[in-house]
Amino acid sequence: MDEDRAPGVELVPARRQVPRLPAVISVPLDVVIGAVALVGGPATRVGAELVHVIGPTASAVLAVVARPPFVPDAWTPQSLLGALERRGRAVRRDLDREALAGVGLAADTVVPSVLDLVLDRVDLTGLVLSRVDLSVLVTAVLDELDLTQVVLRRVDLGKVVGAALDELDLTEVVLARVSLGQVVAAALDAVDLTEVVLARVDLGQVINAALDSVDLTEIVRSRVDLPGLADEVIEEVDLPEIIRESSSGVATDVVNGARMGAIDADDRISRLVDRLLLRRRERDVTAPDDADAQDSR
Amino acid sequence: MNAPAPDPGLDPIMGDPAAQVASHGNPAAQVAMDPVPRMARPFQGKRAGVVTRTAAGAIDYALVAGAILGTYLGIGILRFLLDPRTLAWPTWTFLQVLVIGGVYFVLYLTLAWSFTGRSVGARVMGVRVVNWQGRRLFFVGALLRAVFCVVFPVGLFWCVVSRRNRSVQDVVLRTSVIHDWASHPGSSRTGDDGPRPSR
Repeated sequence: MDEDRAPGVELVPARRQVPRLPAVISVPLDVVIGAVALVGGPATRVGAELVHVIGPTASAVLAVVARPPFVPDAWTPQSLLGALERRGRAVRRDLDREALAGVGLAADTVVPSVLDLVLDRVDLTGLVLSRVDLSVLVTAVLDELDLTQVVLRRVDLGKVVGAALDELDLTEVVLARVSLGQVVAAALDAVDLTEVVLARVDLGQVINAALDSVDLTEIVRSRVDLPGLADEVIEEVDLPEIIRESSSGVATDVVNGARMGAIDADDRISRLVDRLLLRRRERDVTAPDDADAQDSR
Repeated sequence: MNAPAPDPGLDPIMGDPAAQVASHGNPAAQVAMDPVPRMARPFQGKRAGVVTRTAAGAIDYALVAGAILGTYLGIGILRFLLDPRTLAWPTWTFLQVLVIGGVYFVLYLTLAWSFTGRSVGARVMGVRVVNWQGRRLFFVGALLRAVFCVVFPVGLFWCVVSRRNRSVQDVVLRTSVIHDWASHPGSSRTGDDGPRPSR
């Protein structure tokens, strides 16, 4: 038990001993109590029997005595007793009021001094720690209170937060205690970043500022495979065909036309001759080429 | 007469701007930029028919005829300069004209086929003479083919009935006349305008 005691706490004994009377008093007192107990039991039973037997008759007699016949009500003993009772009650109330006032005055004067004396002599903290189940108490209090409302009404949060921020190296605390990756991921999950940027950011200004600060030409030259890109574009758009169509001279068109005309005539003559010679297979006009020659070597 | 053959190299007639653009780009771009018109691409490398070859030959005949006429006029003018008192044009017999024309033709075709693979007529018609390996003719081969063509010009017309569009000269000397419109070496199917590959 001593090991559980909080340091510096002076425990108050759990049970105070009842002060004992001196033997001079206690012995005779006990004798008297024993005698009364011896006599009291039978006497009580006898009294009860008497009340049971005499009670109804006594009640009838008392009723007649209290209100005797042929006596005006105002003069009956019951009325007189009632008047006395009312007067006595009024007097008692006055006395009570005065007594209460006196007691209150005395209490106002005495209680603080007494309480101070008592508290000076009592280790109240230790007493509470040893006698009170603080967890139950705090839980009950918290259950009763709307702590948020209490704080909002009673606490100057600005000052509290300001003082806390002044005291803390917030960056270090955050870096040490916060999983920034999870926080950022959760924030990004909860926020439609595109919508936020579109609503809050002047994208034109941002882009202009970025373009002003960047040598775009240099970046393109250093980062972009311009020859490769040009090749892809040329391949897609068939640039030779476009250039040919747009810039070739009349002579080229005439020559190309003559060549294609000759090819067409060749084809027609070949078909005609093959038909006359009853050939069914098409001509094999594939010529040997350099690659074939290298393969055959 | 057989059709003369083509030559790549920068074609003065066809001088294709696209080809020139390609030749200044990187090698990949040269391959990508085929200067041949799209409609003619399927025929590249295929043996030419009789009309194409006859047309090319006709152009060469005209050139040789012009050369003969120039020779005739040149001799006449030279004689006039040497003896201005008498203006007498040379009197050539038909046989002499044939011999002179034949010699001119053989020299012209031999040089054209062995150096560039094609004569002027072949260049105009977009054809080229290649050997059995698909390469440019050697000098001796070009000379033999030129003589054969001059002596037996009608051998050309065998390509009308040949299943492979080959003339008599092609069959005997194992040569071919193929379509090759490309006007620069990089895009040539046979790549014959540069130095002859060593064997």
